[in-house]
Amino acid sequence: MTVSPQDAARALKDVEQVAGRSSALRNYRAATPALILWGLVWIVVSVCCDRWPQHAGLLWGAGDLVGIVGTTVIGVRFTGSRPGRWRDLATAGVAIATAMAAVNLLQIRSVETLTALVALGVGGAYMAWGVWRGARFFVLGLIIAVVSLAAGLLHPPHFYLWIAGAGGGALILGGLWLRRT
Amino acid sequence: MEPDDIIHQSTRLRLMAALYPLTRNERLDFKRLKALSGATDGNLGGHLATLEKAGYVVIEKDFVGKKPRTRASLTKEGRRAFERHLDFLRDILEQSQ
Repeated sequence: MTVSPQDAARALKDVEQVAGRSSALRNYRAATPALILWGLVWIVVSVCCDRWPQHAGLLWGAGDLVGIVGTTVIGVRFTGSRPGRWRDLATAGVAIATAMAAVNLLQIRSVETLTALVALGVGGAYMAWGVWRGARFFVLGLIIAVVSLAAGLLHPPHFYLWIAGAGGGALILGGLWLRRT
Repeated sequence: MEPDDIIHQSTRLRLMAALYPLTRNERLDFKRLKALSGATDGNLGGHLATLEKAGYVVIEKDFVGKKPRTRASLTKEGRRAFERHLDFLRDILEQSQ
């Protein structure tokens, strides 16, 4: 069989396109359970914060712990144990440590502002992820970021319920949306 | 370097490309493979059977509730053959430049 350079270029382009689409679909499927889990955590914690705002820090700490453990379990079940899994946890650790350092540096004392800032950061992270791994992540991140920013600036009554709707709702709906692919 | 005649056929090349990003525990079902490869119902089964016969893919059939489900994944040999074929194609391009 002889293959011309034009045929080779066409075949490689085909491979790149199909593998890229397959990879995006794979990422969507892999992300769905974790997104729904984080959405539920977000809603439960935010509703609890609305009821007991004085315990917001503790509630978010507990919620984050549930989310991180759950995401790790989901990740292992989806892709199996693989070398380098520690890098995922290390990445989450670095992000959390950097966020905590930034909060101290900026001397943010209002829990509501802090909550909106974290939600905005999550939205931004999804948008950045979406640039590489699929447009749907970007749209999801944009929705979270815009609503969080609006809630953080306007401080509406029942602020935490806004955050529950923006963050938790968007994550759950986003997870279901990704699942349809 | 020689081309892989089985993989080089355009639909089979796209099927291999669709399966390549999956990890060891993952499978792609018939519906998604069809969408990704642009194959029709009629020829998808035939191309998958050719790849299976060559030892490049594993096909699993089961039921979800009462609905039959067909899923495919790459074997180690299939992954290596696909990578060799991509190297062959890249070589042709490099030599032509």
